[in-house]
Amino acid sequence: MTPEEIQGIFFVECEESLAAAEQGLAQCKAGTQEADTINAIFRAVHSIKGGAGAFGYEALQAFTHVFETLLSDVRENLVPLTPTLIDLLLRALDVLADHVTAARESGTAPEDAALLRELEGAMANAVGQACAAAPTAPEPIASPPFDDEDELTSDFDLDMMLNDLAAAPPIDEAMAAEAPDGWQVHLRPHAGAMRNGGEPILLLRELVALGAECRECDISAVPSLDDFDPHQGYLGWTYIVPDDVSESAVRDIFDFVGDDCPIAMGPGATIPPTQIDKPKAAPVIAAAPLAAVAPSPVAKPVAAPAVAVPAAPSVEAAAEPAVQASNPAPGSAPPAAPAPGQSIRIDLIKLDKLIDTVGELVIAQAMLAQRLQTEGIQSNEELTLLEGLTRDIQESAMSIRAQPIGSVFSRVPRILRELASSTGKHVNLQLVGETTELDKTVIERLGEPLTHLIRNAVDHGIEKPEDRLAAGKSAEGTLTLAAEHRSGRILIRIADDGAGINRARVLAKAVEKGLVAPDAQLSKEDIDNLIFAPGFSTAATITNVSGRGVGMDVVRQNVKDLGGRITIESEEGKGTTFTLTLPLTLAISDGMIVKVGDQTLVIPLTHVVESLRPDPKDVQGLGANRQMLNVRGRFIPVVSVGDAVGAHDAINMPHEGVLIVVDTESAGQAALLVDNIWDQRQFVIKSLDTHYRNVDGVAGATILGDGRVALILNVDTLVASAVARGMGLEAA
Amino acid sequence: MSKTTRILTVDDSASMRALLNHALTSQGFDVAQAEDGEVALEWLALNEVDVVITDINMPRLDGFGLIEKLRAGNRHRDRPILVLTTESSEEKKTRARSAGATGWIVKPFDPEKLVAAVRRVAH
Repeated sequence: MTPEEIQGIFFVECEESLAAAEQGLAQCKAGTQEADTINAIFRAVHSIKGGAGAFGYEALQAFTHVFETLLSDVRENLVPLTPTLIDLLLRALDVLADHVTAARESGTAPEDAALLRELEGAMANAVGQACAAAPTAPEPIASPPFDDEDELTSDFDLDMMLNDLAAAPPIDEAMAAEAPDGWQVHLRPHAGAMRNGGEPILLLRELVALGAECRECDISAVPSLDDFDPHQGYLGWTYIVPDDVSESAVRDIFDFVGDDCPIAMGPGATIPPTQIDKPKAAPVIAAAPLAAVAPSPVAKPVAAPAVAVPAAPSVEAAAEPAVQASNPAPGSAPPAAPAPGQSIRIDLIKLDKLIDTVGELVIAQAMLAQRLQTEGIQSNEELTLLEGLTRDIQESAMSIRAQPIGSVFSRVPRILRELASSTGKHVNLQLVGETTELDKTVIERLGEPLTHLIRNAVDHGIEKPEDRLAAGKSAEGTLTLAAEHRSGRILIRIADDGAGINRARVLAKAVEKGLVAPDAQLSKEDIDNLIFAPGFSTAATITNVSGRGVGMDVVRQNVKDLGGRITIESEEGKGTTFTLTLPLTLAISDGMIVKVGDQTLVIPLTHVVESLRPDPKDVQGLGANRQMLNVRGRFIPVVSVGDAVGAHDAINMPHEGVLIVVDTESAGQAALLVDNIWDQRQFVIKSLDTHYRNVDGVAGATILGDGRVALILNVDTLVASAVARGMGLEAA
Repeated sequence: MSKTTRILTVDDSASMRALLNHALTSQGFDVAQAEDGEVALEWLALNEVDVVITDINMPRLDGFGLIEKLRAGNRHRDRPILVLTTESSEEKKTRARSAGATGWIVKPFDPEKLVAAVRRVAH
C-alpha cells in the first residue's frame, strides 16, 4: 500500500468521523444524546487529529487539538453542554470539515482564528488553557542513532547475558572517576523493570549499541542461592558512554521503565541503591508516581547525583495498581457500549467484479430455464431451488454495495445552517427513513441534486419569518426529507411547508422566455414542470443561494442519469414536494424488450411514459415522410426505430405496430414505432465501448434469456437525431 | 534474529493501522491488525504474537481495558505492549505504566522511533 493510498483511507475516515460527529451533535441538539454520544464525538475529532499529525497537516492538527480539548472538557463534565455551546461545536465542526477539504485538496486552510478564540474561551479553564492549548507538536527529542540495529535484535541467550555481566573486571574507583574518553551512567533495574513485559537486558544491549562499555557490575546485593528470587533486581551497572552520545539519547532508552530502573549520570554519581522486595511479597511493585529521575541540567559534566530513590514501602505501593486498574481511563468507552457490526473494507473494483459476475449468473440461470422449457422439462424442483438461490445471491451482492441514505442526509444540517445565516430563514429538519439503503454510486451522485433541491426549497419555497407569521404559520419553516423503498425502487421526498409554486409567475416567466406560447393551455402539472426547463429561473433577483447558474434542469438531468425520475406536487400556500424515484442499483435496470423487424432491442423503462396501439386516424402525415401522433390532443413526432437502427422487415405503418411514448431530455416526448413488445424484465448493462466502440443511439448491450445479445437504445440521442432529420419541424 | 517478530496493531482508525503496517512490514516485521480491543482479544485468543501495539481511545474496548484483560491472564502477562498516545507528559506515561503498558509510542510517530520502540521491548 502506498502512502498516497493510506492518505486516501485517512480522508475516507475523516468523512466518516465528520458524519459521526455531526450525528452526535445533532442528537445533543435534539436532546436525545446518550452516555456514549459525547464520547463518539470526541473519538471522531480525536481520530482526525491523529491522522492529521501523522500526515503532516499542521493547520488541521492544530484546529482539531483545540476542538478536542474543549470536547474533552465537556466529556469530563467540566463544561456544561448548553445550547450555545452545541451551536459553537456545530460551527467548529463546519470549519473542521473545511479544514479536511483544504487538506485533501491542498487548498488554503479556512480562517479559524476567531473561532479558535471562541473555543478556547469556552474551555473549563479558559485563561490557563490558552497556554496548554498549544498544538502538541512532537517533542524535538533526537532519536537515538543506532549504529548496529542487529545487535539489539539478537536472540536472548545466556552466553550473551554472561558476557554482558562480565564485560569488564571491576576497576579502581579513582580510575573510574577520571573516565577519560566518555561519561558515566549508573543504573540499577528494580523488580518493576521486569513487570509488564519489560526486559532490562534489552535496554543494556541498546546502551551497548550506542557505543557504551560496561565499566562495573555491582553484584554485592546478590544473595545466596537459597534466598535468590529470579523476579528481583540484584544487579547494578556503570557504563562508560562515548562523548558524542547525548544524555537525552541515553535517557530515551530508559524512558519506558521510568523509576523502575533509576539511572544516574556524571562523575559524582554512583550506582543507585537496591530495592529488594521481601521474598514472596506481592509479585509486582508499583511505580511510585513521579518520583522520577530529575530533569537533568543542560551541562552534562555537572549533572547532579540526580536520583531520588522511591522509598515507599512495597506493601503500600502494591495497593495502587488495583485502584488504577479498576479505573482504566476516565471517559474511555464503557465495554458495554453498543457493538457496531464488524466490517471490512473492500476495493470497489473487486466488488463490482462480483456484481458483474452475479449479473452473468442471473442471465445464465434464465438461459437454463428457457432451455429446459424448450426441452419440455418445465417445472422441476432443482430449477426452482436454483432460481431462489440466484435471487438471494443477487440481492446479497447488491446489498454489499448498498449504504444507508443517512450519509447523504447527514450533510443537510450544515447546508441548512449556512442557508439560515445567509437568508435569515431558520428551518427545522425532519428526517424519515435514514436507514433506507441504496447503491453507493447512487448515493454519491445523489448529493448534488439533493443539495440543490434543498437550497431551492429554502430559497424559493419557504417564506421569510414575517411572511410566515402573517400567513398564520410558525416562524420557522419545516423541511422533510424522507426515503423509502417501494416496489424495487427508492422514493426520496423533499417537502417544504412554504408558499408553494406561484404558477402565475412561473407561466409568465416561461412565456417571457419563449418556452411556451402565450395562449398555451397548460395544466397545473405542466406549469409546475416548466421549472425543469433549461434556462428557467424564477428568483426575482439571483441570489447566491440557488442562483449559481445551475438550474432545476440540471437537477432533473442528474436524476435521469441515475435512471430516476423527479416529480413535483405543489399546493399554493401549503408547500411543495419533490419526489425522486431512483433505482436501487445502477448495475441492473428495468427495460422493455421490443421486436423491430429482425432485431430485438431494449428500451430503458425510465423513459417510457406509455405504450399504445394507435387508431389510424390518430397518426397524421406531416410533409413527405414524417408522421405525428395525436396523444389526447397533443401532437408528438413518431420515430421509426426500424429506420433508425436499420432493421429488416420492420413494420412501418404506425397502426400496424405498437407506439411507445417516451420522455427525452432534449426533444420532448416522442412515439417510438416498434413491431411489438416482447417482454419487460431486468437487464444487466454491458458497456459497448469497452468491447467495441461507442455507437450513437445505443446505450449498451445486454444478454437475453436465450443467450442472444440485444442492444439497449439510448432514447435521448436516438430521438434527437431522428427529430433533427425531420426537416426542422417541431412538435407543437 | 532467528525468526520474524510478530506484532499485533490495534487501532480503530484504518489509516493509522495502514501507517503502522507500512512502517513495520517494511522493516521485516510480521504484522496483524485489529480494529478495537474486543477484536484484539479474540485474535489473541487464537494466535501467538511477540509485541502488541494498541491505541488507547477506541470504541467497545479501549487500549487500557485491553491491557488490563491481557495482564489478568497467564498467556499475555509478560507480553510487551506498547500504547499509542498523543501526549508524552509524565502524567500520561505514569498512567500508561500503571495500566500495565510496557512502553509507549507518541503519535504522530516517526517510523524509525516506532521500530526502535518495538525492538526495545521485543524479547
